Amino acid sequence: MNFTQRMAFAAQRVYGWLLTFYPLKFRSNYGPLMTQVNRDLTREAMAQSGFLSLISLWLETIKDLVASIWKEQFDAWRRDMPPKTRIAFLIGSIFLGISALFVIVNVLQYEIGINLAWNPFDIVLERTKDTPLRLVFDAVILFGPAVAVGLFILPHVEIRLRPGEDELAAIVIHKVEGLSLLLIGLSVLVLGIIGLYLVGENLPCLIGQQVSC
Amino acid sequence: MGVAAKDPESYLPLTESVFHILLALTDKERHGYGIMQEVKRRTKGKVKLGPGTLYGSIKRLLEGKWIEESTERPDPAINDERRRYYRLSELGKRIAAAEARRIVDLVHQAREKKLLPDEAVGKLV
Repeated sequence: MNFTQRMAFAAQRVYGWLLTFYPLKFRSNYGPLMTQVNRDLTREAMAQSGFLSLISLWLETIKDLVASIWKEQFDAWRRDMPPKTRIAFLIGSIFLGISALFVIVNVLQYEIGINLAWNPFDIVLERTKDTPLRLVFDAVILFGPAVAVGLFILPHVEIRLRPGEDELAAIVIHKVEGLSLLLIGLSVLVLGIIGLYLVGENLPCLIGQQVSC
Repeated sequence: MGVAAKDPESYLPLTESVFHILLALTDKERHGYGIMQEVKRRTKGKVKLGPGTLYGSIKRLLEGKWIEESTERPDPAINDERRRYYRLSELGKRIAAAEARRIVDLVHQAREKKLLPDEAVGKLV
């Protein structure tokens, strides 16, 4: 097996893994067929000009995956998801979106130094200064990603009460789906950046190296 | 894409990928890869359907009963159990024809506005 064949084999395995980002129902209906088509396309690319065709095929495959995964996820969200799960995803996405936007805007403006013409968070901070709403805003920014993680996990968690058996209750965590996994990962990333930002800003105070805190 | 509305015009306009899939199934039954190859051949590689886009569209077309899954194999010699073959339904044919008429009508309008040379349009109509 030469290098290109090994790459083709690895690419097919990666493709099979990427299919986990499609909704379960779609994946179980069409996953094997899509894998088969990908195998055919890989064989076709190998017969053309080997490695270069394989690269070209993968660029198209990534474009296709990105476009269709979101479409199918939205379709499943709209049609197949129970209302409870749908609400959990919606609220989690709003929390994650606000926190992620806060991080992006602040990093661009204060870390990289890009002068943004309009910063919505500066306006909110200014208008809610010394009001209870400021606490709500701070809570959303600080705890938003953590709440989002919980809400994205929630659809995969089942609480079972088993009276009469040895255990009184059980918490069962089902396999976390691709989209939930991606959103949990993004939430943790945003949470980590906010955490580092806060620690970085306040570290001199925390370790007593700065007098005016 | 429900079946309640019977007027094919009510489903128009179609997306490019859906119309290409319907066109590919007009003359014969094909499997997914066969549809991709036919679209690529007919458009000289300008339109390439990826597996995700293809099967997403196939899913919606099956739900709307525009296409049907075929249990027969067009060529028993190249029969592959893992593949699924699709064919155009009566509703699908009517919708594809309605879309073709809509496009021809648009081309007529473009000709009236002198956007296209007459001979180019003559080939289309």
